[in-house]
Amino acid sequence: MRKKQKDWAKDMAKQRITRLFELADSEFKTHPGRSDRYVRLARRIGMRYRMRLPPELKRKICKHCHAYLVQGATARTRLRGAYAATTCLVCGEQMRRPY
Amino acid sequence: MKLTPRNIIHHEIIGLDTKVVDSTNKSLIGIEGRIVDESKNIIVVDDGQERKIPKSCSSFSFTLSSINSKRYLPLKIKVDGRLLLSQPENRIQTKFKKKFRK
Repeated sequence: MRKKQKDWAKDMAKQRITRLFELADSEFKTHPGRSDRYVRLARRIGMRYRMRLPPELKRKICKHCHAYLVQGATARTRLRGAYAATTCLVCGEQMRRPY
Repeated sequence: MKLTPRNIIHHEIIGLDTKVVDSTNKSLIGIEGRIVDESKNIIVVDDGQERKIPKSCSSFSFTLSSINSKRYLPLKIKVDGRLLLSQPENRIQTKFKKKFRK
């Protein structure tokens, strides 16, 4: 793959990932199943073009079951000393993040 | 680079408004709604109920919400479903086949 073409593809992949997360956000209230599907599509695009998920979007999905997390509905965050623990209410697993 | 008529076959089509303008299955023609899901061979359109429309035998007319200042770019664009015929994550680098151009 030529450099220019590669950059173009990566840029396109990034846009599509952000677009899918916007859609997941707007669809969550009416169709929560669709948000999980959009997260899955976004992750696949990221893997195919070796794009990392931006850190602010990475926080919105469960590390274990890849569900779309919304605070209060599918996630609970508690501060525990040196780290913030986010519990996914779909699978019950925890994610820790220093703060 | 935003969603334009030029790069629509490489961009995300979930969330766009669409209308089925041509299909070999006549009962699908005229279905209008928002695209809610996409797989390799099927586009799912929500018009009150979820309708599954095969890509291989249909043409879609997409309505783009935002358009650049250039006047000649059309707001509605007709796309042959065969151009979209691949998995959504592989579609970024599909080549534009001229024989499907209309």
